Amino acid sequence: PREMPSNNPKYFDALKAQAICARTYALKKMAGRKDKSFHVYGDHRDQVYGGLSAHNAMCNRAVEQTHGDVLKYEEQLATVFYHSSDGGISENAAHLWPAANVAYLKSQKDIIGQTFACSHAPNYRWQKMFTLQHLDSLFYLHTAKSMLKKPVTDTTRIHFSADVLRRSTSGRVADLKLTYSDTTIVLNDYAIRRFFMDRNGRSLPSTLFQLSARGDSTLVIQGGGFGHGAGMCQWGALKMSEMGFKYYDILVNHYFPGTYLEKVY
Amino acid sequence: MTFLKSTLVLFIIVLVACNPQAVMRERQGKAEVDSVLFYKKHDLSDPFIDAILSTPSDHAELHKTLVPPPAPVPRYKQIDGFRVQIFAGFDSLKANSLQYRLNQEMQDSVYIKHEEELYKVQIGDFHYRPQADKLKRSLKNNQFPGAWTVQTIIQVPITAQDTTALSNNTSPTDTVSDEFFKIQVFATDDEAKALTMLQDLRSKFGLPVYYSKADILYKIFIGKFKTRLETEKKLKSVQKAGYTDAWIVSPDR
Repeated sequence: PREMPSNNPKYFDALKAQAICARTYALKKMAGRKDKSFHVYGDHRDQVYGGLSAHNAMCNRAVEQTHGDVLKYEEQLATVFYHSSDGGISENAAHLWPAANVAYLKSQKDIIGQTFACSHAPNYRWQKMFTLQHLDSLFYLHTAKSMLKKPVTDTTRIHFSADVLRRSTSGRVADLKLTYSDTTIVLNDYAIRRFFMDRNGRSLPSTLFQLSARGDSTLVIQGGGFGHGAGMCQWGALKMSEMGFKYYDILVNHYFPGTYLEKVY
Repeated sequence: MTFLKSTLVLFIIVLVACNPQAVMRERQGKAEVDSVLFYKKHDLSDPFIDAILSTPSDHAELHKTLVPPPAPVPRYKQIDGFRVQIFAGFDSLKANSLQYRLNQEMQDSVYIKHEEELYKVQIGDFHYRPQADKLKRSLKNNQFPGAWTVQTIIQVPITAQDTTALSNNTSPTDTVSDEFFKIQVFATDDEAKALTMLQDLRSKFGLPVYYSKADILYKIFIGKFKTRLETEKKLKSVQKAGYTDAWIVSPDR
């Protein structure tokens, strides 16, 4: 229930789509974790449940009305992913998880009619700024090396550079090289988001970003979307539901093309 | 026979109607778009996405020059002078509590010096012995009968004159005309007494003896020494000769 807002009746089909995704995901995980003492985590590692207190009537109705419905592809449970907002273009899932190299999880622009599906999402476009002092702290956190934390005894010129070495097909940064004086590190995918933590400890919203420098001392990261970007964009699904699309349009005809719905219980 | 066939067909119809999954798996093929909306995807251009897709590489660079901070401006200088010592012992706690108590009660600074295992509590920063003696007398009459005057390094605020000297890259001593260490033996406001003392000292020590007048005081000095070590050696012989209150005056005084 915590995965998606359930306070607006117009979001009902998005909730149904989410319920089917969650069910498909859980059943697939259950099959893969047969020998474990549990099947799924109740948080971001699998799905954010929120407990009984997060239940509400609309959410429960969405679950009941899709009772037993799952997404399938070639007679198997489909591999489903979802995220908050894709920033206008979804990620090729195989880039993040090689096992998810399936036809329905390829990168595509997330367009509905004449607009991007999640253009109303709070993190559709974002900008983060990092001063050299903040970057020094981040380097210290990750490499235990700092240029600013030690006393300055001689005039020293320090240098920081960030280079995008490779992007995925969706344009998301796959490899990022950071050089800080005599230290160089190369970060990949989620490690990039974890590195650029803000002062409240929050990671970078996504790896769909561009770099620039403001003056000599501030790194500007302009980005789009929130989350890994593979599979269903939750803000996009909400928009589609609001516009009147049905849950199977959201799933089968838009975010997971080539899959089909099936009732398994 | 016809009746049996009809019964069987009826039974199958009822069975399927009640539980269709008993005979077939319900499968919803690819759903038809039955949305109330007609929609058609068009490729949209977006400056942000287009820029990212057209330029895979990206680069940003920052620079900063770190300059050592200027040396802090000293607020005090250390010179020879006098303090009143009220305690010397191994008990650091007692020394600390005395310092705390006296800091509340007195205007003069109270110091703890740790020398040769001893914790010494000293009060004041006096240029001249009579000033320290005055405090000593007051302390002796109030709680500290064992107070005594000691010659030591004291801390005095740096004056504007010192700051000017520092900014001209000269040491404070350079601004003082007298560049020798000397031993002050006596200070009095009686000129006749000062002259008698002068003659007396000249006869006892084979060293230059002279006086200088500061306000109403005549200060009588012995010797002009280049090093403190040399002065300290001479001071001992002067004190042995009965001038126990004699002390060293540094060139920067």
